[in-house]
Amino acid sequence: MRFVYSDPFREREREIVTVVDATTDERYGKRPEDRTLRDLLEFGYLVADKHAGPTSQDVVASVRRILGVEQAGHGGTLGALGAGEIPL
Amino acid sequence: MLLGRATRLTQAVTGLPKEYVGVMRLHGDVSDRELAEALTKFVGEIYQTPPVRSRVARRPRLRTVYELEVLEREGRDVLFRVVVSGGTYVRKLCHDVGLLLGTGAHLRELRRTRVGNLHESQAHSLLEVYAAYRSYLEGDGSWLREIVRNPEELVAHLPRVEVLDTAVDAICHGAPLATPGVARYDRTIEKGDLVAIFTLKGELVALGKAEKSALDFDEGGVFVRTDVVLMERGTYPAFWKGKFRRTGAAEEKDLS
Repeated sequence: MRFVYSDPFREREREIVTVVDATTDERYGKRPEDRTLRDLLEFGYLVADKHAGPTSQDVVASVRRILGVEQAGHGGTLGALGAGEIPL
Repeated sequence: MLLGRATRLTQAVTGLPKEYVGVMRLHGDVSDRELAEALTKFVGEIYQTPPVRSRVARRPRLRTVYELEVLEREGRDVLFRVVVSGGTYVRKLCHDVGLLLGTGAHLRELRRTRVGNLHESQAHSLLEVYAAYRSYLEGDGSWLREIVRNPEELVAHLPRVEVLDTAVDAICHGAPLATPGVARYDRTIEKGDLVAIFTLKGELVALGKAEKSALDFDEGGVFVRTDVVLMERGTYPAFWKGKFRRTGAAEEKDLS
């Protein structure tokens, strides 16, 4: 049995308008593809696989310890019973 | 998990639709037909009261069940797959199905398999994260690079606005984005939409709320009100501060 209401993952159509064809000064900032791992540990994300048992907070604490990052958080709680990806 | 400044993206991520696979245990015998009939009532828009043990106020909230599928049945155990809007409690959903059936039911096991465009296949175990970090410390970061990714990917689903270098730092200080600072925008933006603000290099600067529809862009004025700033102040020069206008661009960064 399968019941479908709609597909929330369907990509929205986008229509980009260019106002000014400006350039950017390479002296400032950094293209995302040029970031170093050090940069990414300060501004990045990863998808962790969580097993039943530990809480999402436990997993965050572990990753924080492993990677030695000060700031880390998760984007969605799975109860201690839940498993699966904790994005982010 | 969100690392460093990216933790500020929580808000944008928790609201994403999610897919779960779970096992529901029925507390009585139910035919396939009865089960199907009950499940159809939970597809589409539903009201859900958060469970007692939750961090949000317990008032009914409108949630969407986009898809509900029974993958397998073994007596009272029902293996299902469900796609729901952010903030939907699957445990509560099972409980409510049980109430409607009259037998009662509860969630036995649950696995999240998708969040927005992130799939289960992209998930890494803690052991992998550990091993990849060790090899990074020993000089090979290629594995860790596959695991730790650019936060821009997380907001790829949002409508975007690209801004001029001169507008970046003001936004980092929380200023709203006015139309003269915009280089490119998405014409489908509607008033009130959550919008991702990028630099011309493709870096995420901030998230904000559209103050007006993109169709009214030519009116000028504030286009996006800055909500959450992701980029560090001073990454781009503070062109918005009058005193910097007179100095050379190279020194500006040192001053800020």
